[in-house]
Amino acid sequence: MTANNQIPQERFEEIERFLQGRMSPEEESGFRQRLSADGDLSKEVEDVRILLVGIEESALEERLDAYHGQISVAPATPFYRRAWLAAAVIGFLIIGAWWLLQSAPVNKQLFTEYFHPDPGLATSMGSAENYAFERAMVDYKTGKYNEALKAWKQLQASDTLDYFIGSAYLGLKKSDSAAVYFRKVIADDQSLFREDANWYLGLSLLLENRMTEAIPYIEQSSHNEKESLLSKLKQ
Amino acid sequence: MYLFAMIDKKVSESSPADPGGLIMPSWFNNETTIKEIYMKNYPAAKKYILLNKGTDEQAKDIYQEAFIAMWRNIRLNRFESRNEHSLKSYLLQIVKNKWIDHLRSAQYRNTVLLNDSDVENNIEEPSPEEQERISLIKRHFKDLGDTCKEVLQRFYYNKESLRAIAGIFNWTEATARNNKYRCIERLRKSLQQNQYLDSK
Repeated sequence: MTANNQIPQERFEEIERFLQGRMSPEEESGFRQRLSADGDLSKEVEDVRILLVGIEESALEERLDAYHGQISVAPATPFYRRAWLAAAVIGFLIIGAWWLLQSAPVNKQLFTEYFHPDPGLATSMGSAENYAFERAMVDYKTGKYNEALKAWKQLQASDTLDYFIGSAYLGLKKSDSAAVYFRKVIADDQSLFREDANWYLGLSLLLENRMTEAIPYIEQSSHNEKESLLSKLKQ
Repeated sequence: MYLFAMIDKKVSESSPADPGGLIMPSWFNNETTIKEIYMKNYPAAKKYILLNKGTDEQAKDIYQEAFIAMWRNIRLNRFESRNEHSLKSYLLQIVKNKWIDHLRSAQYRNTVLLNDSDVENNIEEPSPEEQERISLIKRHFKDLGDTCKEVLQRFYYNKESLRAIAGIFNWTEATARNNKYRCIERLRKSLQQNQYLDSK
């Protein structure tokens, strides 16, 4: 706060317009010239700037719990932006996939359409055991599923490990082995991976052409493509 | 989708220079955008904290702290997001840094060790003086009185017009403008009083 107590209303509102980007280019240019020449004005601008941040931050803090309460009902929206270049690549992929799908059985067509490997974890938990886990995660993320499986199978079992071992098997299209691990995850009530494991177990069964058995698992997942896949399975 | 549009707009409009980064970033000047960023990024933050020995409650607390830190750095032009992905990475990095700080506290020192490679120091922290000034403003703002608080929050955070605020309080627009100024001066006076008492 400046030593000078009060900022006259008109000057305060001028500062406010500047900070909120509401000045015309000409007005802003003139204001900046005064700002660079007038130390008192510069201090007032800094005072008001921090004051407004404090007011807005108070409002934000009061609203965060309300925002949080809406998370569960928020509609799912696509996360990554698709650049025009990516669109061209996707176009080629769609044409290629369409060509492949024409000659495959229905269950394999659906599997190809809906199976996207779990992207893996961005981080690990750091201990010596987890260093090995993380190294194998790098292999998994780059599609070296056999290398990842070899390393992970030497580590102490956990639901995280079971889930990614299942994911690696499914990446290799070894659906029977994948299903064994996804079932272990689903049996663990506390696992964070249960919903995802349901989706991938459903896809594992689909790949084995056990479409009726796949439905209840897909129903229990919360995958954003769940309804779309179910509608095709129930046709 | 809305968020993409806002950020793209910001990037394409970033031609006028803002020496010193004083002017509020226009794309961030909207409650809908802020809420959308909050809601979309929480699941990833929660997953990280739960996978690293945290609880639901801790995930929420850490995320909210990180979100406010991100908000402030954007608001003060210390971080300029180029796209939604960079914004998400930035927010999640603050979450990780805060969670690692938390785990390094005495309570957890002997139980969990996180990988140091998760920590990045390219996130600008506010100076202790600035932190203290903003905390002080927030404390005094809480004691400002309900009407003043509502007027200032509606105008500065919700970006409601003086005409709309006048309608809510059954004032004229000129009265709304004058009352907003009086509320600001009341807050400034309260802060100056605090500074005067501290200096004695």
